[in-house]
Amino acid sequence: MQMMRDVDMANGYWGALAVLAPMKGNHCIIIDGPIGCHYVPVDSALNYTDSIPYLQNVHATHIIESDVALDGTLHKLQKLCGELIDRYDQLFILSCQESEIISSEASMLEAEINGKRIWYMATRSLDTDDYTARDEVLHYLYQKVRPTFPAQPKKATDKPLVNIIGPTFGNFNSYADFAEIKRLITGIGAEVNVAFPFDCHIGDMVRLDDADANVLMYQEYGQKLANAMGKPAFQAPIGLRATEKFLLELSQALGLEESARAFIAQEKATTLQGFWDVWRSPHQDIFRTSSFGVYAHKTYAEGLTAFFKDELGFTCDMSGVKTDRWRTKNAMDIKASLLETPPTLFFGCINEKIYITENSLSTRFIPCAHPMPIVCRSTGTPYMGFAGAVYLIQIVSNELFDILYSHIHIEYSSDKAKRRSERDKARVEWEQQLLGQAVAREVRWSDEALKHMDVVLKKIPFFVRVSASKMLKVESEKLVKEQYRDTVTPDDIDVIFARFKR
Amino acid sequence: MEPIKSIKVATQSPCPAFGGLRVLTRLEGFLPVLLGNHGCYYGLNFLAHFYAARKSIYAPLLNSIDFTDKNLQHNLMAALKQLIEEEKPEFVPVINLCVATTVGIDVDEMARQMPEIIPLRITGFGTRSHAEAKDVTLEGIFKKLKQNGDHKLREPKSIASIGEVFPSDSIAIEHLAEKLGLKYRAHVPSKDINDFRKALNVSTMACLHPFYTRSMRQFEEVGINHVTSAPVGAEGTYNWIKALAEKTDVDAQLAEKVAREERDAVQKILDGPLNLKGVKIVVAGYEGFEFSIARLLIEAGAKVTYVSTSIGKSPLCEPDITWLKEHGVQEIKFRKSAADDFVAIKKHQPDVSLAATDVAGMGKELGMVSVYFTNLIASRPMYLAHGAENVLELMHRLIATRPAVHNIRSFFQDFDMPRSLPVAEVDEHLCACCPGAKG
Repeated sequence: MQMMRDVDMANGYWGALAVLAPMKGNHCIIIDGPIGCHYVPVDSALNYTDSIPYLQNVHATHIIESDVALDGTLHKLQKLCGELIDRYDQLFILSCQESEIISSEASMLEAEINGKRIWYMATRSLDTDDYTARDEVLHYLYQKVRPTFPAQPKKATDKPLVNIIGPTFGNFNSYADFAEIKRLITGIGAEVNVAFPFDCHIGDMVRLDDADANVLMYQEYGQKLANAMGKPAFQAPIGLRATEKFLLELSQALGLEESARAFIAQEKATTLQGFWDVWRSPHQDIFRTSSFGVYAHKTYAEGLTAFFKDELGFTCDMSGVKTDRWRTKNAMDIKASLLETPPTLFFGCINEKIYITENSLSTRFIPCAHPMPIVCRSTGTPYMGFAGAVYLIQIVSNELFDILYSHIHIEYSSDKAKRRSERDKARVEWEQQLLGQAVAREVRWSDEALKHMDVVLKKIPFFVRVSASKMLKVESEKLVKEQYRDTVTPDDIDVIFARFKR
Repeated sequence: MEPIKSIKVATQSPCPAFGGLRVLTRLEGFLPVLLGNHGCYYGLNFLAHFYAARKSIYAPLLNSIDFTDKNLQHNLMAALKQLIEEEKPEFVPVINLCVATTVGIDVDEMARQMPEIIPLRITGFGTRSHAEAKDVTLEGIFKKLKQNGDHKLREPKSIASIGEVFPSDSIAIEHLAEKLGLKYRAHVPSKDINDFRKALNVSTMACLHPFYTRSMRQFEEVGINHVTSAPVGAEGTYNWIKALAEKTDVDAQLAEKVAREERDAVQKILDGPLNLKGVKIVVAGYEGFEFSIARLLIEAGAKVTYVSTSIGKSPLCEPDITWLKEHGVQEIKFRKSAADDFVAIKKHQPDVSLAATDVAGMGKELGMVSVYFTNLIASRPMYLAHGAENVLELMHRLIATRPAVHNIRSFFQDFDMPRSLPVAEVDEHLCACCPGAKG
């Protein structure tokens, strides 16, 4: 049995909640679990992942000690369903780890009452992870729930229809990515049919089959539903080449090749102008001499890696898929690899941000995954599509500028008076030496210190290494003199290096 | 949101285990371990890494097949042993969460075999609130230290304080103790386990928050008495200083002098330009020390009609409850549910609501200058004159933002925004201070 550090993936119950909660309509969710299972995902985490302060249509059994020891939760669920069936048309009961372990019998409550329905979703929280559950719940909604809704007319349009499958709550930066994918689909002359489940009414599920193709937002889940539907399916892209390929393949399936080509050309003249200008300006030199690391779920990990490595020319120090931690024993130990080769830029979640901070690495952290308390509600910050390529090149440029900022010379206000008196003192010493009134005090470098200087310099991005090495040398010698010693040690270099991070 | 009638819903609280992690992740040399399900781990890590400490939390991945394995206890102990060997922590608090407790994982047995382990049982179905989980956690730590014999150097006329307070508040208590001729030895919870050791050797504990009932029992067992409530507001400050002096045998005349000085200093603030006459406030937190805040606001002239908390009633709350009832608080709710607060803010229509995330959010929809109790109130000084000034300043600052709140609220409320109160319902309950309000 292995102890995991900082678990970064939730269970099936969270996955089911992330899928069911965003849909509009007169339905509610009943959590069969204790208080923590209600408030942690709904009030706490959702507040950070999606900035939503509360969900009105979530209720819970709030398991207490006597339910665990004696009664189970069936009696509570019966009463709750009895009360809530008057208010809602659809009731979804979600199992969670605790109700599963006390073997709740809630499945026997599944019923149809005067056209209203009670559904029991066995989320298999004891065994499945968040994404597996999202995959299964999407599929379940399509297979089991959809047929119970009345038919709807097909969307009145002469354009081909495309579903977007997989935007849900609790995905990093999904509002902007979702907006960009919609923009790309309409850009080539198609129309969004159902954006499932994030931006649709629960009854819109019946129109899913009207689409000519499916776009899957994430590689992590949604494939089971896409396979069941049997339509051409395409993964949302990150990077220029991936987006181009996505648009051409999607348009081919829809018979829109010509307008897709025109759209790509138009994008080069509009959205991507910024990318081109940043790319051909001297910033690009910075990219090709710096390194990055990424640790995220599959879509972002692979997408960002391809974009930064193959398109911008960064060196990839590490690229790990988080989900592997759950599915293979050979998963990357991200903390160990960060310590071994700290990259210039690192894309990850709050766990890695903590490892970088607690080990005083000079690596710059950029968020790209949950868990992470971060507001991503602006639709202007996509990582996906052409707009994503512009946004990403912009944030890495600015981060690299900020590294430069922290390395260029500064005269701290608080040190000015002290430095002045030091200069005056040094001048007197130097003049006395010249007049033969004093013996010069030389500072020597130990072999270890010289070796350590090389080690430390390697941690500093190449483009600021020259100024950094000068500063390290001068400041280390000053430190030694201040302390009336005559030899620079590796510790002195570390002390000075730590100051660079201000 | 209409409240549920058919079942009794639980007290509003984040997962209680988060209360434990608040204390445990901040302790240096501690390596916290959770035993439960990965859904719990994810959520608790999320909260702890943001709201407690930037520190790794360890947990074993347990699937249903593991729970049927008769060697589970043995395997867990082997994994813990390996972790302790690798990381060499001073203490390893092991928290048994819901599922691990339900299947009967025996953390006490683990602690018997490995001296580093502090066994803790914190569940969503058994521990009633995250505040009380802090008490369970501190009890666990004190028990461990007592087992190690860290309580045998009793010092007369010395005190320590307990409760998560703003750092300058514990410094204020230290100064107060000096004036009374007492030695102030420690404040817990803190990042240093030595503070817990020091606390076990004082003569009197100042129990600043009224939910540390189990911890107080630990102190009583070794002959350390305690005072409850806190030096908040004029009357509160006077009474608290007198009570502390009595327990610690401080000269009565000196105590009276100090108590009066401090009381007068607070009174000056309360009567000054920062008074809150004519302001209606609802105090609906879940931190467990809402009573102190309510007292301060009332003394400053505010009308506080509703006070709710997630903790249960205990003798430690008595002085505050009696006082609040005497001063016109219509409703005092222990173990409140979120729905209680929703109903209350609609009914009382306060100018300011100090509430949990959901109710604070809804308060803004209804035109109140509401704020999240945890972030805005629990994270600032409130003791003595300095604290009073600070809290009252915040209230005035909030009230001054009223036009900005109305500006945004009215911009959106010609339209039913998704997942929010419908416009008709807002109109019905709109805060009286809003343009266009019914009241």
